[in-house]
Amino acid sequence: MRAWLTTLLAVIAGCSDPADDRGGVPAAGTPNQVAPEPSSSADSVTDQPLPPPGDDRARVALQLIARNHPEQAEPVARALRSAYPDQPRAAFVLALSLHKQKRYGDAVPYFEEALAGANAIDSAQRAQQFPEHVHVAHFLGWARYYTGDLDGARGAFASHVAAVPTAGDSWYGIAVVEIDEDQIDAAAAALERALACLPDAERAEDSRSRDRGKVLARQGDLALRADRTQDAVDLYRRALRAWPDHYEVWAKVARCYDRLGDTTAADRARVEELNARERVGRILDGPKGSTP
Amino acid sequence: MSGFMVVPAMVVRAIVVCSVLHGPCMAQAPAPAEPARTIGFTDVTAASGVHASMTSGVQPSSHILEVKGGGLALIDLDDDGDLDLFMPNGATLVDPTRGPGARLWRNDGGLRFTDITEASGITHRGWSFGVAAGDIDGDRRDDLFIACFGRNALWLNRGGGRFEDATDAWGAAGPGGWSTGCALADLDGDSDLDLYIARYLSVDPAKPLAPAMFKGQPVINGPKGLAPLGDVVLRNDGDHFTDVTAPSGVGAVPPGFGLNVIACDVTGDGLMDLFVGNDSSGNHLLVNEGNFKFSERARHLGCRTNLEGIEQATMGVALGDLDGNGRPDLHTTVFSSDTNSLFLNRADGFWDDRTSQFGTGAPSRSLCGWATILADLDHDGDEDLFTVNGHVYPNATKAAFDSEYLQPRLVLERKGNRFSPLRSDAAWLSEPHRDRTAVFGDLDGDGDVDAVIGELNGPLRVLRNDHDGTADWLVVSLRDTRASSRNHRAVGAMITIEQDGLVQRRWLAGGGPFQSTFSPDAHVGLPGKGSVKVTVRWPDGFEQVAMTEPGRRLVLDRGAP
Repeated sequence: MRAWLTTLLAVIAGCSDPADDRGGVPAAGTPNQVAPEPSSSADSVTDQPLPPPGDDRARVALQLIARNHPEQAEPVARALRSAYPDQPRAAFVLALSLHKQKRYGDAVPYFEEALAGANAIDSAQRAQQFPEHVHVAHFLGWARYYTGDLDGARGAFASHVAAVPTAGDSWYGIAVVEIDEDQIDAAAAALERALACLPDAERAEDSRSRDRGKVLARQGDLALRADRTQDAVDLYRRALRAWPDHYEVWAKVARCYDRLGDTTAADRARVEELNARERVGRILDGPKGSTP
Repeated sequence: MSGFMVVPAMVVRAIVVCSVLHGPCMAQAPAPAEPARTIGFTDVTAASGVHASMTSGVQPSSHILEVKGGGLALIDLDDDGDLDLFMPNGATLVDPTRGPGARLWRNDGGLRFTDITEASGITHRGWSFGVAAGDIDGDRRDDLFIACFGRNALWLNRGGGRFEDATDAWGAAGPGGWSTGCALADLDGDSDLDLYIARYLSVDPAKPLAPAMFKGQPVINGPKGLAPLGDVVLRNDGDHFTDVTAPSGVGAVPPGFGLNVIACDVTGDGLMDLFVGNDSSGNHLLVNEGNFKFSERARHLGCRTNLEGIEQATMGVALGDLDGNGRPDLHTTVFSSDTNSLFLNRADGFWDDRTSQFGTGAPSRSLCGWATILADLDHDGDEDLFTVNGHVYPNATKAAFDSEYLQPRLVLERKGNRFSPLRSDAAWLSEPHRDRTAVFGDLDGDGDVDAVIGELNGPLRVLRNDHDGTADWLVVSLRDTRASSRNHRAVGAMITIEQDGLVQRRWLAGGGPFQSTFSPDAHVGLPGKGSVKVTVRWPDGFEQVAMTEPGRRLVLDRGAP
């Protein structure tokens, strides 16, 4: 069960591209692989039948989300939710389908409902009834972040890392919030915690390298913020070794090289940005695109 | 005082800003004992005499031509020292060339205006977007240029409240297509006002466009997928314009979806540069190289995209010196699900996206922003941000797009080195509209910054700033009455105001918040008690220093001995 869950959530997270959001901040990342269960002792409050983890609709919806078809997952998730209106897992699946469509404001109340519902289930039953429950706060954090609720996002991420101290992407989320709050020291500390949750390898083939690249890129942002441009370049370069397709970081490297007076390197970095965009299907085509 | 009160600002803020942000250029000053400063406005439209709707197609919008709305202009048409109001107005898809017509109001003082459209002779009825006000023909009367869908228009001020259509005489009609924001500025240093016209895209109003998809919902098509139009620059040759788009280098710039332009010397070399906010494509920074040559430098200097390298959907642009380094910084408003951007203009010429540092991003994420201004709304010695908002898609909802169609205004109060959203249930702030454009200036002569806001297919609204009326402000107007000058309002001048060690700077720039005009006057709040030193760097580089007291309207004449 845990292996299935981990794989599914990793796929769901992995299909989230930072560039999908205009603000450019990465969406949900890979959840912790060895998440301990929280120690809630609340009793179950529902007499409703429960959607088992293997419920076809839940499985189908989650698979559609994982395959980057959240809009197709939404009606399935809504049907599941209608069948089990009081079950937090149904709310979670629906929330996730909305989240992956970037309808964050719509997703937030369902994540909140899922979180509250999960906390009301006996901890012994929770792992069976709602195996993903420990990660709800993580997704809630990003959904709140994308609706501009920084305090709420920080709170959700904090509750996730309290339950799962090795949840690197929620440490990363805390860092992103702190950067937006201009709390540079707190952001740097959170990034260190995020980095500590990840393997050392920065090679692109490493399965966690993308997460590492995200963190290193934010460390580069902090260096740039402090006018340590060369340090920023070094960090961005490390980030790109970990995740060469992170085209936004190529753009940042170009910005740095321009500032350092190396326009040749800057132009090279811009070519790499375009190449990376092409690789991930996010072509910077300016006016030629098809949607707003 | 009507209106409302908000969280009081710290009276020592100016000193905090001085010591934290402004660095060595700022001397320490004692904290003055002052009452709490507040930001508050009252909607005085009903009594103002400004009763008009800004037409732009019909509701609900179904075509991209309908969603941008038109601009507004502040113009001292009779040179009596107060700011009159002009709305070029739009039209409809049925007949884009014949809308309800432009409107002109004379400022009678006390935020009361009289509609003088008919007497003015202005019969303009084309579908208008941007507008610029300035003395184009050098007769010391401010004229009006209107950027339109189709044929642009030039109305010269003939005095006595009369205007004359000089479009053909001046060759001002332009190449057609969809013109948007425009700016008057002396781009070649010959003292007359040249004209930059941003242009948007190519579209046929008679042909419906298939819907595009956004977040899984069908929405109005564009701009992506439609052909952008290149901007146009016209040189003022005394009695006519000459199209210098090609020789200036502007014609070689790959076109974006231009919506707004400001003209200001952002590089500090004494030459007027141009910043063009482009929708869904990278911004342009046209650096003035002299001899009417421009080079597009936004990509290499860092203001083409935000920090993430995202080409944003830029609409409005505000200008101010946020870090106290004496160089104008920029605030740009963008589409929803993105954040407005704040670009600091560094001493080394590069631009830094410091949106996070100043806290201006997160509060804007759910909003689709348009006109924006940096102005000291509470007179505490720093500039606050006022932004008007409203979505372009009538089907926008929080559930579908994380953004409602009707949206409240956003006022961000500067507190130290951060901006904080002003929270209030007061209607002027919280009532949702589909606002687009705005102009800001001291319209009633009481020393604070008032506003007129234009809503898409909605009324103009006049907002009175309810600052408490204490003499903690200064308004500076410049006049260049030398016979050799045709830039009599000194567009391009930089004004430095110092009081008790607090240094503030203002620029008299071309263009405006969104398809509208900046006030021709400079306003500052003065939290201190001492005398005020005013240093003007005129457009030709000449520096003039004057001393004055707070609570005054200072008119400085370049031609005076």
